Amino acid sequence: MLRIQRIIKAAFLSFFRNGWLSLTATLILTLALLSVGASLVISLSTNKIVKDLKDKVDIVVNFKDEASESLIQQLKSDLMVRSNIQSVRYISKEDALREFKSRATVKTEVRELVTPDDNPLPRGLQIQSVDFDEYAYVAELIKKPAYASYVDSSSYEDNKLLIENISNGTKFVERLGLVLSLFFIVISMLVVFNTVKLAVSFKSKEIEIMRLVGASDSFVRVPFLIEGFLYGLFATVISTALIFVGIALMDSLSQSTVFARFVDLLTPIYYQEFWFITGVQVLVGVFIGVGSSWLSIRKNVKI
Amino acid sequence: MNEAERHPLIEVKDVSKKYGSNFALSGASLNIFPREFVILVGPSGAGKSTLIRLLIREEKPDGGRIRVAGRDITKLSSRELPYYRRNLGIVFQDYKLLPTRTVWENIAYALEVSDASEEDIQKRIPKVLAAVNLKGKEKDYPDQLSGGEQQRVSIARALVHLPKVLIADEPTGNLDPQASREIADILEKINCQGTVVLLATHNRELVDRMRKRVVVMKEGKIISDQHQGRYTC
Repeated sequence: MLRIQRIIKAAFLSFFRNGWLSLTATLILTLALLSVGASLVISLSTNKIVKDLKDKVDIVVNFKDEASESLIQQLKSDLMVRSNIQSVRYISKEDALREFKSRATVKTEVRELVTPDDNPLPRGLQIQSVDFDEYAYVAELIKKPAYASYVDSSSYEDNKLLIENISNGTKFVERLGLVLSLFFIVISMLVVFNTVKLAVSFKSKEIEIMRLVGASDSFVRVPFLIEGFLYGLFATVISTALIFVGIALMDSLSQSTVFARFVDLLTPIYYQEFWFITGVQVLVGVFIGVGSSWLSIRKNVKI
Repeated sequence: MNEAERHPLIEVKDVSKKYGSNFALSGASLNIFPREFVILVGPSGAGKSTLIRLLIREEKPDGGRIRVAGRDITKLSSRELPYYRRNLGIVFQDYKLLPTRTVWENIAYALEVSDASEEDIQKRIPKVLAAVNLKGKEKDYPDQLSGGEQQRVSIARALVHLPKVLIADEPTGNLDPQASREIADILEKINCQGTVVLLATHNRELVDRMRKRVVVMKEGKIISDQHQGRYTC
């Protein structure tokens, strides 16, 4: 117990007495965490945009009157088993009529022509997928002989270009987000690692003295690891505070700027995911802080 | 002389150490007995510092054997090494003090690593500070002290855990004659209390004044060993 107490005391002593060194390492780590936090907020927002967009896209397969109920239900259950299919909604003739009548764009005269007794509107399946490529699969499936002669039309062909464009666009945005986040994270890790390495090599003389006085391996190493932990912890506190203030500031200023809509989207996501974003920063901060201390001691110090 | 004092505390036998193709030590043998004060002299490159590095197990010899208190230190594992060093007192030319710790904390560190109790630390440090005439400097940092004072802190740290052997490598190398004499006096006082002192030095005046056992080294060999010797290289 006394030993643990002394090791912790040694870490705090070194952290606060080497003020400038600790401040530099903490600030560099803060920058790294800021880029991690910002990447996270932006990528969560981008994902939200992509998801909203995907939710708005669907295809509808319309059936001829001679198609049997069981055939439609068969197709529905065939589609439901696929993991990428989010929902398949059956549209009966009555549903189709109700939707048709509620459409504001339909003229009153036309609306009155279609009645429950004389309803030419087809039955259909409204299909929504989390993956745009799945729509092409559906289009292929209904071309099969079992279905082809009963399918009246499908909105896939009409929406094909739109679906492909959105699909390519979202894929590009997702990949770009991932690449940019990784790029920033790797760069900041390298910078942090080198800063901590510098801090440890700056102290290598002290480590040599400790060894000569008879300090054991743990007595030398563990305080440095705790110091690395402190860099990570303080950096997380600073970066979380900066992001929090930054978001609040953008929120209050954005009403008169062109970023207003983006900020409107970003703010609720940040507050909603606050603990997740902070948790990731703590983990990354402590991991980089402790990890780079550990690697530096291993590399710089012959114990 | 009792039975234990008839056996050497430090036994260096046929020790050699090579750096590249150069022999820093070549077949050096030396026995140091309890309570002895041994001064190691010789020109630069004679092998004094190498011998000291081997004795504090900073390095291992390429050949030969070194026993301290009956234990072959060349066979110590890295886990055993800290325990061995806690039984030595080591003083260096450049003091090797922890710059971000006060005088008190530097000395306490030597006790903390060996799990000494707080009570023990509080009791021992004032005594050792008094022995090296540093009372009142407890809260100073090393850079607030003169060279002589820093070296006295280093000696206090080496002594605080009551080692059997004190090894000093050029402790007066950076000091003026007055401070050097003070250090020599402290080392003699320590030796009088029963601690073996091994002092490597270039300081002719110091060696001639002390009239102790003088071991002369040259080109990695021990060429002379005289009781109550003088500086002869």
